[in-house]
Amino acid sequence: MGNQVKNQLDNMIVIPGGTFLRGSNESPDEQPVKSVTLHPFAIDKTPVTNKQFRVFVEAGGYENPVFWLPKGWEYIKTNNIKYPNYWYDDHFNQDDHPVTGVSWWEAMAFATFVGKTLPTEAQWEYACKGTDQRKYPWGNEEPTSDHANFAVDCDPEELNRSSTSVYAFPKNKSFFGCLDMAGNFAEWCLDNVSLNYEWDETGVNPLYLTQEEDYHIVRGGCGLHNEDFMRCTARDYYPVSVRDNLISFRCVINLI
Amino acid sequence: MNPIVKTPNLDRKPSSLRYYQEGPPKSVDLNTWRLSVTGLVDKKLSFTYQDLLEMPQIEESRRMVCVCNWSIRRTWKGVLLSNIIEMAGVSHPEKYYLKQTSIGTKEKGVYESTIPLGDALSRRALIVHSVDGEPLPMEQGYPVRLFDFGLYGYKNVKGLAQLEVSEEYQIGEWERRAGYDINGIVRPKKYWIVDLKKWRFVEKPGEVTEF
Repeated sequence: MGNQVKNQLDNMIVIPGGTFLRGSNESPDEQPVKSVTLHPFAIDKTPVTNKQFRVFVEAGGYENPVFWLPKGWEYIKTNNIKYPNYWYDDHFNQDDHPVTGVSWWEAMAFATFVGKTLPTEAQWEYACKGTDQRKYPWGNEEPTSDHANFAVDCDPEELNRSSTSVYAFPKNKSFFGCLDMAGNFAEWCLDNVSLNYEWDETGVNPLYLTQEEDYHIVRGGCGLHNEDFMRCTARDYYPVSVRDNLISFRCVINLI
Repeated sequence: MNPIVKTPNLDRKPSSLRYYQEGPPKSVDLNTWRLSVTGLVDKKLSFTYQDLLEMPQIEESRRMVCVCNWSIRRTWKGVLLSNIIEMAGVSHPEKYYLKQTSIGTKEKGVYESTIPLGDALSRRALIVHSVDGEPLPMEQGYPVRLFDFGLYGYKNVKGLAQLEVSEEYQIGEWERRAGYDINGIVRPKKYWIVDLKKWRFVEKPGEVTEF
């Protein structure tokens, strides 16, 4: 293994290939429940932090089209975007908090910059729940304020809410050891939106793609949503252009 | 007449203040407030609050949906947008857009949102002045709020001051601020249903009528 790959794998968790039951019977969009097989991959232990994203900003990432999908480049140039939407908001811009206010285009550009990509939602779900069908990343215990940054009844206690450190909730640790998968911010995935899994015929490395610019899946819930979105299998989606303080991301490296 | 049934679980409704970026105003003086109707109309109009109360009234239970994944069904009262557009005179409204502008505040400016006029009329959009039998609270859009119930709340302006019929589909506050869709059509997905105190999955885009 070369040094570059070793460096890339710092702060990542290598997940061996395996088979797990994707989905649940909790919501129609999580069905049908299906046995899914994934090849090995490595996934960031935490969401990409503001400190990590700053390297991209300061290296001129927003000025260099080589990192961008053509439609993403067009989007940031048309809208004069030069940094994340909450970059100067001290409720969201602390070094060890996940970067937020990033569109799917910006997440993809950062992933390209660091030689990675975004997880498929199957990879995200496997990294979260592993093989034991747990409800939440930490297990089946119902969440409290000790587990994650989330909002009971979708009504955060503070009107001007804040994000939390990716290390703030030691209990918020997944089957494979990923941190902060539930709550704080939902995380962009590579897949376009689908309203259920009927499209998946093979169950091998599933990935649902329509057009880059179509809505994309996010996973994990956020500080504005309640516990149901923090379930390992829960799904949500947004336009690729959304730069609200609901969404962050983590990256993967496919090992085959 | 049946008494108004108050919305259940209202004490757990997500705060409206979170979704009122440019307001609410500290107060609204009904002696000076007007709802103006301008733009590509035969006749520019200006309604007082009393004018609206004297028009034919609609009171019905309909579900509003927030793009932040929650929803609430309430009893809204107001006038049909179609009555106002008819009075102003718009031929072929399906060709036009409707720009809404709020009263706003000195400090934060105004909130703008533009919607397709024909779609709003076909969905029986309302200019709402009351909810659950009471005037709209200030934080929910007093004195009036437009509601096209097929669209997310961010497309429906609180504390409404102006309606402008236009040929231009302008981006509004949340599209500019955070990249949300200009069309704002309620999407099929899972929502926290405040009045039912449980999650429901909405199967089809547009106004939620099945529960």
